[in-house]
Amino acid sequence: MKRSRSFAVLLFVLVSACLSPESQALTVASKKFTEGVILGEMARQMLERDDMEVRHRRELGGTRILWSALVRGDIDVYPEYTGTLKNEIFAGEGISDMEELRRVLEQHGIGMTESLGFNNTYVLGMVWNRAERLNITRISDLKRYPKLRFGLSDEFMDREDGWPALREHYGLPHEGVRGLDHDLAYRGLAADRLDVVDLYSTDAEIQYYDIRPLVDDRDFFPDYHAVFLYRLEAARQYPENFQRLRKLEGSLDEHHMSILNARVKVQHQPEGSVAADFIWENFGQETRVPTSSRLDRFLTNTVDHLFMVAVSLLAAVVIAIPLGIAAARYRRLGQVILGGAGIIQTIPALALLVFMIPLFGIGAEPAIAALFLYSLLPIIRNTCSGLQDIPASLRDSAVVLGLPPLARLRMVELPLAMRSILTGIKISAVINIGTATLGALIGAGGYGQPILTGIRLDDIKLIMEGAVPAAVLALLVQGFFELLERYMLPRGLRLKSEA
Amino acid sequence: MHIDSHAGYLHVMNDILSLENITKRFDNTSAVDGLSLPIAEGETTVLIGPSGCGKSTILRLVTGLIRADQGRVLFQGQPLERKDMESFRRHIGYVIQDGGLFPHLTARDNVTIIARYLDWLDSTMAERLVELAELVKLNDEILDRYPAELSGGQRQRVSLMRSLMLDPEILLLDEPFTALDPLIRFELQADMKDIFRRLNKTVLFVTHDMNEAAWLGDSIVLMRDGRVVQKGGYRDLADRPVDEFVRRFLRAQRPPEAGNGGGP
Repeated sequence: MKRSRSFAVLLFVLVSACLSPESQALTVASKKFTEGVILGEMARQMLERDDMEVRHRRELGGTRILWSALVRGDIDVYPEYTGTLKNEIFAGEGISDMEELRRVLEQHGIGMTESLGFNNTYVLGMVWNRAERLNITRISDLKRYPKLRFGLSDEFMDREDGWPALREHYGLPHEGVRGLDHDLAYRGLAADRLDVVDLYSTDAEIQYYDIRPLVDDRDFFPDYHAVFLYRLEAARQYPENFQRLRKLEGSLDEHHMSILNARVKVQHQPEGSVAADFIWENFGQETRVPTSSRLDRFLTNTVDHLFMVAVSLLAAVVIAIPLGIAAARYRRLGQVILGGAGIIQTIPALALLVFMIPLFGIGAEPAIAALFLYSLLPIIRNTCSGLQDIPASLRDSAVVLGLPPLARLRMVELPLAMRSILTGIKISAVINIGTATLGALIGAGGYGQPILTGIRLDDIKLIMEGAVPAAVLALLVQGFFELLERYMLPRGLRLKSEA
Repeated sequence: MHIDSHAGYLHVMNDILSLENITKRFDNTSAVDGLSLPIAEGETTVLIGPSGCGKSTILRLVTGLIRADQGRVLFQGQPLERKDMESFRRHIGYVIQDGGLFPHLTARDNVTIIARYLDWLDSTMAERLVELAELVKLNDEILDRYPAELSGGQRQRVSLMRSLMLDPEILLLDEPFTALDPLIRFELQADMKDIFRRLNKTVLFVTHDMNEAAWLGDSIVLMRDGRVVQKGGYRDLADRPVDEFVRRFLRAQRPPEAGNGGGP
C-alpha cells in the first residue's frame, strides 16, 4: 500500500517534470567559457522581441553537448567556431572551405551565419612595448631574434599541430622552449622572464597584460572564425528575428572581442550588460538584460538542485529496493543486477551525463536520468546485503510460522534490513547532491551553475555560492536521514545495536 | 502402532506424524540415513543423541525448511507435498535454541504476528494473548518489551507463546533450554512439562541432555549417525539397552533417579 502511494508521487513528479512549460519560443545556448557566454547573450538580445522572450542556457559542458542539443532541437542557436566544426564535429570528413561546411551542416538541418568578424585561434604574443622596440609584428619576425625566451602552454607544446609544427613551418631557431601552465606563462611575461607566449587571439589577457598578438603571416594556424549555428527550421519560423541576429555578422574583430572578454573577466561586468552595451553602441538598439539578485539566484539554484536530487533519488529508491530484494533472493540474478549497477558506477559522471543527451536532450531530464542511474548501486547493494545478513534462525522462524514470502518480506525481512537500506539511501543521496553540481554542464542548473561561472571567471566568491550550499545540503540530508532512521527504525533494533 | 483414528471411543494412540524411510545428505555425508519414525499423537517424543546424529535435521525436515532426498513425511496419514507446507505449518509450532524472536517487534507483536497476518479480530487476539501469557506465566508488562530487553528464559516463554498462537497440534522444540543457565532451565523444564500435559499436544523435542529427555519424554528416540538406535521409555533404554552405545550414552549422562514420564 505504502509502496503504491510513493510510486504515485513519483509518477506525478516525473510527469510534471516532463510537462514543465517551456514558454520561450527560442532558446540560445553557450559553452562554458566567457566569450561563448557573451556571444550567447548577444544572440539572445538580438533575437528577443518585446512580445517574445528568448532563453539563454549558459555554460553548457562542451561542443558535443551543444551540437547534439541543437540537432535534437532542444536549443535553436549557439555560437561556434569553424575550426571546431571541421576538426571536432566533422572530424575526418576533410571539409576544406566554408561552402562545403555549410552544405554538410544543412544536411543536419543546421544553418550557419557568416563569420562574426574575428578569428579566435592560437597566436603568439609579446608584450607590446618590447615587440615595438624590436619591431616585431609578424611571427616571421621572430627568426631575427633567436635568443627570445618562449613559454608555451603544455597543451600547445604537446599538440602535433602545435609548437613542433609551427617551428618547422616558420623555421624558428629558438631552443629550450618551456611548456608551462597558461596562467604562469602570462605571469612570466609580466615579470619579464618570458618574451613570447601562445594565447588565443581574443583572450582578455591581451588587454590586461598589454600584449601584441603577432600576425600569422604564413597561415599556419587553422581558422576558428566565430559563427552562430542555428536550426534552419527555427529560422524559417522566425525570419524577422534571425534577420536581426545576422546583423552581428562581421561586426566584431579580435581586438574588440578581447576587450569585451576583458570587461567580463577583468572588470567583472555581467555578460548580459557587456553584450547590451555592444549592441547599443553598434546598432543603436536597446535590449533587455534580466538582472537577478544573489538571493534570486540562490533560490533558483536551490530549487533546481533539490528537484534534480529529489526526483532521481525517489525513482532510484522505487527501482533499487525491488532490485535489491531480487538480488538477495536469486543469487544468479543478483550477480547480474549488482554487476550491471557496478558498471554504471564506473562510468565517469560527465560521460554518463553526455550519454543521456541523445535520449533526453538537455536540461533537468538527462541530469535526473544520470543521477538516477548513479543512485542505484548503493541502494541495491545495501538492500541486498541487509536482507542477506538476516540470521538464518530468524528467517527460518518466519517460514515455519507459516508466513508466505511476501508477508515475510513485509513483516520481518524488510524491517530487519531497514538500517542497511536507509544507509544505502543516505549514501546515494549524499553522492547524488555532489554529482548534481555537474548537472549545470548540461543545462540542468542547480548549485553547479555558480560553480561553473566561478571557475570560468576565476571568482572564488561565486564558486562558494554553489559549493557551500551543496555541502550544507549534503550535511542536512545526512542529518535528515539520521532522524529518519531514528523514527523509522523499530526501537527493538536500536536496542540491539546498543547492546 | 498405526491404529485407525475412526476406531472411536478408544483412547487412540494414533500416529499424527510419520517419517518414512527418510534419507538426507549434506555434501555427501548422510545426516539422516533411511530413517523411519512414527510420532504418536498427544505424546512427547524426545530425539536425543550426540552432535551430528541428525536429530535437528529431522525437525527441519518436518518443518519443510529442508527437503528429504528420499522418503516422505506423512501428516495425519497424508504425505506432505511442497504445496501443502504453508497450510501444514499452521498446524505446527516451532521453538529454537535462541527463541528466534524478531528483534524489531515487541514480545506481544512477535506472538501475534501470524494472527495479524491472518487478520484476526483484535479482541480475539487479545483473548488468546491473555490465555497464553497465563499459560507460560508471563505478565502483561513483559509483553511490551523487545527481545533485547528480555532474559533468556523469558525469551523462550515468549517463543513458546508465539508457537502456540494458532493452537497447533504439533510442537517442535529444538534444544530450547540449551542456552539457559541451570536454575532458569530447571524452572522452565518443569513449567514446560506442565504445559505439555495440560495442552495434550504432540511434542517432538530435540535435546542432547538425557536428564531433560527422561524428565520430559513419554518416549525417547536415541539416534546415532542418522539412524535410530533404540526407542522406548527411559527405563527401557536404561534397563534393556540394545547395544553398547546405548549403555555408554546413558552412563555418560546418568540422571538422578528418573522415571519415564513420572512427576518431579
